[in-house]
Amino acid sequence: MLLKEQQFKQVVEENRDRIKRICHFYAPTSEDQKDIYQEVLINIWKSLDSFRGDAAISTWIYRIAVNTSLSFTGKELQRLKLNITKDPVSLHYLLDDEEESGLKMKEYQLNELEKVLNQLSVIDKLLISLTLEKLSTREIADVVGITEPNVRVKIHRIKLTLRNQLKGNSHEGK
Amino acid sequence: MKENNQLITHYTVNGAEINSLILRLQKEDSRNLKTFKNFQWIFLVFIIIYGFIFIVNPFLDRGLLDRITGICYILGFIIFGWVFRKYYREYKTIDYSLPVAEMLQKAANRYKLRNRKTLIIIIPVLLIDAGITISIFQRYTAFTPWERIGLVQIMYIPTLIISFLIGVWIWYKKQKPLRDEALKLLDELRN
Repeated sequence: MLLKEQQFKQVVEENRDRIKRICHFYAPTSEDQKDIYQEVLINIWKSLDSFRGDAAISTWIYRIAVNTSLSFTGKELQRLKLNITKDPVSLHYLLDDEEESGLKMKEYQLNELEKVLNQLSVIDKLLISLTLEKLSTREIADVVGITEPNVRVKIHRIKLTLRNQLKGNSHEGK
Repeated sequence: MKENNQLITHYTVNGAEINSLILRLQKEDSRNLKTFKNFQWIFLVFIIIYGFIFIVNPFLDRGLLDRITGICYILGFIIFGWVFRKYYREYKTIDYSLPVAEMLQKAANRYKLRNRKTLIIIIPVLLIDAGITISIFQRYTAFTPWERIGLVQIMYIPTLIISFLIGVWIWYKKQKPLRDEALKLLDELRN
C-alpha cells in the first residue's frame, strides 16, 4: 500500500498541470473543474494497480482524464462546453495558419473561436482538446483508440470546418 | 460519482491534502471490499443453513423431495452469488485507463438490457421456483397435483413479472440513456 501511495503522489505531482488543463477544457465553472479534477485523481488511484507501462504515462493520464470528463458530464454530454485558454498560440494548433495566428490575434477572434469550437460534436471537441495539448496524431490515436489515419482525417475535417466558420463569422463581422 | 464527491468535498488540490485524499481512498477501497465480503458471507450462511437442514438433515425428518428442494435452493443461491460477484467486480472495477473507444464499447455492453449475465439469472429463478413448488407439492395434499403447482405459479410468476418490470423501468430511466449516448459517441468516433 505504501508503494501505491508513493506512486500515486509521484504520478499526480508530475502530471498535475496536464490533468488540470484537461479538466479546464471540459468544465465550464471552476467548481466543476475542481470536481472533475478530484474524480480524475480517484480514477488514477483505482487504475494504478492495472498500470503495466504498456502505454506512456502521459497517454495513460490523458485516457483517464478524458474518460472521466466524458463520464462526469454524463447525460449533459451534448451541452459539454469546451473552454480554450485565451492564448493566441492555441489558434496556431487549430488552424495551421502562421500569419493569422500570430500574437497579434485579437481577443474577440479567440472568443469567436471558442464559440465555433463549442458548436462541434463531443468527439470533435475531444480531438481538439488533445490537439491543443500538442499531442501527436499517434498519441491521440492511443488515447482515443482509433487508427492514426482516422485521427488525421478527423482533425483535418475539423480544422477545415473551423477555418470556414471563422472566415464566415469575420465576413459577417465586417 | 456523487458518493466520491461527497467523500472529498473539501479537498483542494495541493500537497498536504493529497495525504488526506489517499487516506480517504484507502478507506473507500476497504469499505468496498468489506461490502463485497459481507454479501458473500450472507450467501455462504444461507447455503450452510439450507445444506444442513435439507441435505445433511441431522434429525432425519426430511424425505427425498425435501432434499431435492434443498438442492434447488442451494444451487439457486450459488448461482445468484456468482452473478452478484461478477456484477460487483464489473461495476467496481471500471478501468478508466482504457482508450476512449474501448471504454465506450464496454459501457454500452455493461448497460445492455439483455446481456448474458442477465439471462443466467433465469437459472436460479427457475431453481427456486422448482424448490418452492416441490415443497408446497408435498404439503397441500387436499388439492390436486395441478392445483398445487398452479397455486405456487400464481404467486411466483406475478412476483417475478413485477420485479422484472421494475428492473426494466430502472434500466430505461437510468442505464438506457447512458448506453444510447455511448453508442452514439462510438459511432461518431468510428465513422
